Amino acid sequence: MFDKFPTDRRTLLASGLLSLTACTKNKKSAIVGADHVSGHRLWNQNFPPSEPGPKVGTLIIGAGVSGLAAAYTLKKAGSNDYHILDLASEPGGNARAGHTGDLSFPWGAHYLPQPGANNHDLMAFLTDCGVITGRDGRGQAVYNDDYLCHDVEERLYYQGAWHEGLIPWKSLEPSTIKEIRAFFAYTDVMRASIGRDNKRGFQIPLSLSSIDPHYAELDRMTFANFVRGQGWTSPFLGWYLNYCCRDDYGTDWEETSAWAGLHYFAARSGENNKVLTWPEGNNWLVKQLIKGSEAKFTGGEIVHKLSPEKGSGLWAIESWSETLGANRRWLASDVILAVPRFAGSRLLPELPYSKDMMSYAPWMVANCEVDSMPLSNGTPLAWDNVPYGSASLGYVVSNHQSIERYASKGILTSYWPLTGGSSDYLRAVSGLRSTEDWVRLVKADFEMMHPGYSDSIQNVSIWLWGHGMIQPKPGYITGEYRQALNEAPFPRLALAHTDMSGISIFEEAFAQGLKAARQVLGVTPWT
Amino acid sequence: MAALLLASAFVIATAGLVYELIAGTLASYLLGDSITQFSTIIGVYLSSMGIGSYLSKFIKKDLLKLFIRVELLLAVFGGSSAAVLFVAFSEVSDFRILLYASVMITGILVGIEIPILMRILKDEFDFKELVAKVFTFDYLGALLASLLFPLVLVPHLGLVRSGFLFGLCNALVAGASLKVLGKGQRWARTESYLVGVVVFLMTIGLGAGDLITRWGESLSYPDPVITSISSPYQRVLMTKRANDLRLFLNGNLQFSSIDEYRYHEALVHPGLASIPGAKRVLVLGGGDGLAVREIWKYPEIESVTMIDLDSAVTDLATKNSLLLELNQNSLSSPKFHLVHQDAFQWLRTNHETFDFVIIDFPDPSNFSIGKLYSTRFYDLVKNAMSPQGLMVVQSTSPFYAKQSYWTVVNTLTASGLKTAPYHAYVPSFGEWGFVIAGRHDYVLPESLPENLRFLKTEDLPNLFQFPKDMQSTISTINRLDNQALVRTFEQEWAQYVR
Repeated sequence: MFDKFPTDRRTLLASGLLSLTACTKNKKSAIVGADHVSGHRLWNQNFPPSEPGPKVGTLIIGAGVSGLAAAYTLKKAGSNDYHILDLASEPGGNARAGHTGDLSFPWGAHYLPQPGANNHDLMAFLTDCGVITGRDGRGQAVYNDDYLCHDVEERLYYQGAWHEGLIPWKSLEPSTIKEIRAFFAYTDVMRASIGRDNKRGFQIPLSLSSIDPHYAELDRMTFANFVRGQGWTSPFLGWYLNYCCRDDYGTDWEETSAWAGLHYFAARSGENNKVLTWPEGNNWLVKQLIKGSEAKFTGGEIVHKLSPEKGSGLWAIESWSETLGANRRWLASDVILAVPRFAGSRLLPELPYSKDMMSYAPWMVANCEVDSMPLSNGTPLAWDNVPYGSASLGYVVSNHQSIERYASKGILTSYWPLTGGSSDYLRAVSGLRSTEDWVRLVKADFEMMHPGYSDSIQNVSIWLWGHGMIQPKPGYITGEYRQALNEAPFPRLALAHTDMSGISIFEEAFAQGLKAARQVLGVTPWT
Repeated sequence: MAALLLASAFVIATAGLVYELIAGTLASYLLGDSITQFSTIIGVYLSSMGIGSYLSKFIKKDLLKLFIRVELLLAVFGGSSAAVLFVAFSEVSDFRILLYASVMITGILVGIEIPILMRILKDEFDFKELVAKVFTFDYLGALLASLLFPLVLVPHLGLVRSGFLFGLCNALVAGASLKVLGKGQRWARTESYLVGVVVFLMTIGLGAGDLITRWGESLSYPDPVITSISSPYQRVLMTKRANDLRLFLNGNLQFSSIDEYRYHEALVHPGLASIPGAKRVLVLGGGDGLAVREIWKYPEIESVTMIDLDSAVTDLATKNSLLLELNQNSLSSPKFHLVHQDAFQWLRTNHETFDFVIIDFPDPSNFSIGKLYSTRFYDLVKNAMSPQGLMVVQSTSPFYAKQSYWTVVNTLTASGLKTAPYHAYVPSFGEWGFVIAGRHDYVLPESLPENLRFLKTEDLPNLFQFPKDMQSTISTINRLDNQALVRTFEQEWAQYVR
């Protein structure tokens, strides 16, 4: 994961990393995540001359889910001659995790919805790693109970009480309920609908979706305008759909394409609506992807230059190693470039990248160590706890899957997509905030949901994702620009990243990695 | 001055009757037979008032000072009576002596008060006015007390705090009298210290958190509370009335010594007696040791392992003399092994196998306990069962919570087990359900241990027959990701007041 903050804030952030700013009663809080600093070296391009480095068959640049899915596919195909480099010291990208004592917690992506039956590649992977344990009498996948999100899955804090689910049916006006039902009826129709090319309108991975212009039209307007255009104007439905856009895309619904907003609902079958989750979030999946390739991963590598070597037909990859303090020149027959495009275009200027066309959502994630679990009015503590009308998405109980019945200690992960302004502006503002500013915001959010509870919060660790994920703004997904992004300007170069999909979810990253690995392996990519 | 003293008469009368009602209620709680208790207490109280009135004639001088003193004594004795009686109940050998002594002292003090009050006031009014006024306030105070007591005091404050509240009222009356009437008296300073001390004591009593809560809590139990412990996991509480010993966890009845043998015989024997050569038994929950008592009726049992999260319960079962008598010291056998751990976590790391597994958890009334009734949990139990092994699950009432009961059966079936549902009548619980589950079909035992009080071998087949109103219904499977059981259970029990 690469982050970019305005350079003049760099010192502030760096000091934020080092100082464990004491709040009260020995409670410690800090901003963690060191990528901001090393990330900036890429912009400065201030490296010593290179020295010869290792030679490898396939070099995978980027150890996020796309890169690791590529490594997993190469390994599964019997290849052994590959290596993975990443800027961060740990693999995982957005799906990294932290640990304290015997508790684990996510720093970003933290769940995977049960995939649809037609997502064979993903189903095969989940079977490999024991998430799917077999098939039942009707041929349906049977999931390991330890990983299916335990009941209660989600609840909403609305008008002073907790309600099960995200829609407090019993507290809403009949007119609002009518609109919500109409919206869901519409998504049901979209889920079943098939375009003139005989493909479903909305699919995961997204590349399987129909390219019928009938659907592309939805990509020309914002989700908010689409919904209002249907005559659905209730504030609750608006909040809910905005929440969904912020949750999945880190983007306000006023900026999200209607196609993407509907994809959230229409691409997943109505039956398989359960999610898979782990205390460390999707880092659990990361560990499964990298299993057997651990020795082929090198972290702390700032890859800063990628060029075809004249004559040999090999790629020359210059990388500054933080640990070795050396600028090495790797050689590889194939390169899988699995980094976000704003960074990728820095190493290979031939890659198309336009700041106007591609926008990345900034996020803040706060992990709060607590010495007791919050008590609630209404539905008891759930996995996902969402406050109506908050700037946050609420909090997730990272130890929800623990079967320990009387957990007192725990870690609550508070998610904040930074919306309500241009992403450049929001990045600048978030960089200006001190650790204490963030902690105060997080605590205020908890106080709103659980009055008096913020005293139970011991440590708060803050992670700022400067460029958290690509934003599916109108025109991006079905436009020509994204088509062009997917075309590699050189042979023996495979590209893999969710910003070429437009939707930053595990399934897309996984499909991107598979596609790139198959390209290297000479297998026709899945279409 | 007159108005203040008449107000005093009102407060004295209210407080006096409250003390009497506290004594009567306490005696009914602790000794039972409320008709006898109330009539004897009223008798003792009124006659003591007579004694007090008689004694008042020996008071010759310093009327006001004595009025204040008596008022303070009444505050101390009456105010703390409920607290003292509660604490003393399990400590003293004859509770009745203490009870009637307390009622007498209170009665005598109230009896002295009214005549002294009338003598203080005799110069203010003529006789017929005086008698009319004092008795009007006296009887009105009694009316107020009789209404306050059941409607406000018992439900909101509980007996102990009500006592202290009226003790405080008495002390304040003493203080007010002292301030208004005792001005300039030599003894005023000493008395004001005494008033201060009593007000302080009553306030402490009224506010004292945990102890009072513990006593106050006992009001929600029909029988006197003899032990209550707050463990990290639950509130463990025992009550006893006559020969009925009861254990409550978080307010839910676990057993009554009157009929627990029915429950525990039904839980253990249909399963265990049917396994030839059973040697190793696993008990999940059941920390009271009563199920284990039944297991020792099979001399061939070589080991019993119990997994119970809460050491507060097992400590009680190994140390409390009443419970030890009931469980026949079943947890002290050298063949018994105890592990304090969450059963789910223990099973995840366990590699041993057992011939019989007894699952005796609280009812699935919340999501934490609901997990212990899930397919995932039964899968783990299955792995801990020897090939010929069986498990038995206490599975709530097939009458009150029919769908919940059949959800448990269905969940066991979904875990790939053959089930044998059965039920038994336990008066303190009502009709109660159990399920035996194993890899093979269940076969009824040919014989049961001797010396059982409830089960007979020839009656066993009846337990497995369900009458029409308890028969199997369409029910779901309880999984960790749906917790269907907790949801059903909540709905079903909501229809009954337990």
